[in-house]
Amino acid sequence: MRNVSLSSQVFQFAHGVRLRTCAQRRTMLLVPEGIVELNDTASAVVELVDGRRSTREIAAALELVYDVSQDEIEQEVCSLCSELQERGYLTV
Amino acid sequence: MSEPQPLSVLCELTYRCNLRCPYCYNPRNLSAYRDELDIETWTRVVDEAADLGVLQLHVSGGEPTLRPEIALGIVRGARRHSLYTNLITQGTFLEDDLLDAFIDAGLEHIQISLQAAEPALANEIAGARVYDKKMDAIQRVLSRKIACTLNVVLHRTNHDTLADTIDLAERLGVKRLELANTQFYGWAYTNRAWLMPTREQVRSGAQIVARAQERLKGRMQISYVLPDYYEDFPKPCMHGWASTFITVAPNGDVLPCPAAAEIKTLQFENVRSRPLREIWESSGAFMAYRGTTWMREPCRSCERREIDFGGCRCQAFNLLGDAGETDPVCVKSPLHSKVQDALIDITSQDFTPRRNVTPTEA
Repeated sequence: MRNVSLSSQVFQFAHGVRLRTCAQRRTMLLVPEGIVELNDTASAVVELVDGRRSTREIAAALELVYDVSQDEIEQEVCSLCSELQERGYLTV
Repeated sequence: MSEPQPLSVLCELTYRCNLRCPYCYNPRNLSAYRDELDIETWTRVVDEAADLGVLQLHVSGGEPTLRPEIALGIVRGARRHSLYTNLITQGTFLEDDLLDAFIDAGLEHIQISLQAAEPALANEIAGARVYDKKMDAIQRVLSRKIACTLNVVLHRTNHDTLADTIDLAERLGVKRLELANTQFYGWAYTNRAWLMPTREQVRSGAQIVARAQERLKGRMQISYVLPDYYEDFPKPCMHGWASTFITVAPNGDVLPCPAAAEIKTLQFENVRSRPLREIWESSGAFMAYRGTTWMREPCRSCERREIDFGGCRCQAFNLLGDAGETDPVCVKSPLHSKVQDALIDITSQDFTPRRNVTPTEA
């Protein structure tokens, strides 16, 4: 079941949080307390977080790349962004 | 275990400080560090760190803002390499001009300390009447667009005021609060009997923090670091010796962790005489406890050997006189009683203030 209110949220990076792509294309989230290495799925999502795109738009963009349904990918995007928000890395 | 790859460098600009906190982890022989690195050498260290693949620099001390030009120079140098920078300060010199200069230079995060929520207690712990100045600095940082963490080191004397600390942080609008129990190195090791919290304090503290974390979800991140003497397994110190982390001491000595100078059986190399990469890759101090091959029993065959890496080498040295032993915090250590003994003797009413060194700009 789709959570409509979640899907329309627009996230941005909190102060003191940024992405950095390193050797071997590893994507790191640089955060106040250290460094978080993102897996491929997470980095594909977080690379599209810009304070303008909604989670639905991010999901739509990723649907073109990955072979999964929009519903499935939207769930994934929302839960990842919420988790990062809970850890203080993203804000609404 | 993955290849060691340094990700963070702790740049300790000076061990000088105008405060006298009894829990300071700086070395006790401060006079050995008077010959501080100059800006040219620090700039080279930043370049060499970036070349090694480091991503994050922590600018610390002592009080790093006692050397403002060097602190700013490191932040500017880091930005050229897109390195993340974090300033760790007690804030007593963080006036508007200096703060704005740091932000213009590209600083991304400030960790600022507070000794306690209550002014008289805070001043007593700091050994100076600096509470008001520090509160000004905290508010100044919070008013800027920069990430800020308020750090409060916990010990027996301020542990019962934990709830007040959380309330104060909430009133100030702090978004990140670190409540870390003292780690017993340097001056803190000397003052262990005065600093050690009681088991009851730790238990109720964890409950207070858990409730606050729930209540403040999404508004304030609160981390609570237990005193490891009360744990069953040791902390995964530095995520393994010489695996991701480098400390450069004020005199240029390169250490695998900020407390490593306590291990008198190790020799440390210096950035004045050898490139950072060579020191990282082959110096004796870095090789000594890297990976798992140095381990003895009970670590060697333990299923947790790549979870906690045998714990802390400095703690093994401090408590047992041998940095190659299992951290005695571990219940599997045959010498675990050394940690339990330290928990019996926690009645001391006195502490030795960190020796004060007159601040003079280098």
